[in-house]
Amino acid sequence: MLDSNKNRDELIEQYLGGSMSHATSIAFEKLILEDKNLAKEIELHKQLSAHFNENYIPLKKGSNTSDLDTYFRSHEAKNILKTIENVEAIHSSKKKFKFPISIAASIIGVMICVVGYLQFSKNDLYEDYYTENDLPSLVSRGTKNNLQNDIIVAYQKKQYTVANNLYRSYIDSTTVFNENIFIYGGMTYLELNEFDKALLEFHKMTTSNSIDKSKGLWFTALVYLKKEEYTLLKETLHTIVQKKGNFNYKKATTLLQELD
Amino acid sequence: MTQPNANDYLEALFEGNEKVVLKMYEDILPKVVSFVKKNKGTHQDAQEIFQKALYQLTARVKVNKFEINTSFEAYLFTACKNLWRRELNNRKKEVRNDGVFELVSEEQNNSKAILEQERWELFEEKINSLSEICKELLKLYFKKTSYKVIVEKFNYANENTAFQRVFKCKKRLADLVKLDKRFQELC
Repeated sequence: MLDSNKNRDELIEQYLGGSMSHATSIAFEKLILEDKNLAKEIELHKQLSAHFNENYIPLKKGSNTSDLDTYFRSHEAKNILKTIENVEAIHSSKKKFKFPISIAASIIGVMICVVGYLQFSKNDLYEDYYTENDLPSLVSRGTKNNLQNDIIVAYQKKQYTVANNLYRSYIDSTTVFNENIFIYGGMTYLELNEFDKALLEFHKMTTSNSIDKSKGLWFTALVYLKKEEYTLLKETLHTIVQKKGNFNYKKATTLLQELD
Repeated sequence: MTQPNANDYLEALFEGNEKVVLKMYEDILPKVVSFVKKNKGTHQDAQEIFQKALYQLTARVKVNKFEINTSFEAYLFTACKNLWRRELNNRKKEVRNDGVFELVSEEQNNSKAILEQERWELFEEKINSLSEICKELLKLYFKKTSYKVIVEKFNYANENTAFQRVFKCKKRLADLVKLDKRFQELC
């Protein structure tokens, strides 16, 4: 039953925040179906949430696009597209023409400072392939997962020793947790250059029952990349590319090509 | 060649001035390539997105009398980012093979992408008209940051105060969007 003392905004907040009871949610969803304005309000909230999270949400059905459609069918629009395509072709061919020059430049660069160049490219690869976007989103509301939130906040603030201490306390004090926390644990070790301990945490993830367990493989690969253990790195990447559904399958494929 | 401005670039697109359009490719495309490659895409993907963004921009200018208020580069880069998110979402849908695919022509596809870009600009404009505190609060709220973290960050008395502040900011933003004449068309 819906609580008549609560105003509409509060009910929307409860519904979207997931703090409504199952029975109330069902009653509220019935109300959404009946009330177009309420449905629009919920839709707007979802769109704003997607905007803040840089996610994509499609346009509502039935939007009027006829004027734009007509323009795209016009000769003028087709001519513009032709210009863009021509320029793209010129740009691509110019790039190809420049290729031998860039090779020559690279060879000279390598001859001048082989050691420095190699060191730079190795570090560069890790920087290229590690992104915080790959870290799982675990922050939750309420008081239930305070310590878990604290780990993530400390990690995001780059306080890796603090995050690592919190992580160890958390793992010792609880038996029920989201396995994705292993990734944060492993990353705190990796940031502190404790490679073996990092590998252990990622191994726990890989061998867990989580649907995200393949993330463990990717982060294991990152350890080898940072550690510059290329044989083990390639072995791990080969395991990732065996299955298209594995986390960062495409990135692993590209990295393998770069290494080869 | 001196650095062209937004009007020079648009004029070049409408007049078919390949030299100026090429300059656009040389100056702006590398940034788009870098973004797309960091986000699960290839050089080829970036080129396609760049081409679409340019093409759609010309239609916005022609049909909707759109004017660029930022720099040309900033506009185009944002449009490319949004188009790439759209593309990634479509690819995900294809992989999952979920739902019935709506059959849309290339023209409609371009038109819808334009309206989505307009919606993005509407939201951005309204968010930017909020106070700095509201912006920050909403950023944290929508990223599902716990109220405990919000309380600490803003030195609020308790979680209930944080909840009330977020609630007010969210309502203010929703009201601003709803009062805009573009709301009915785009949201």
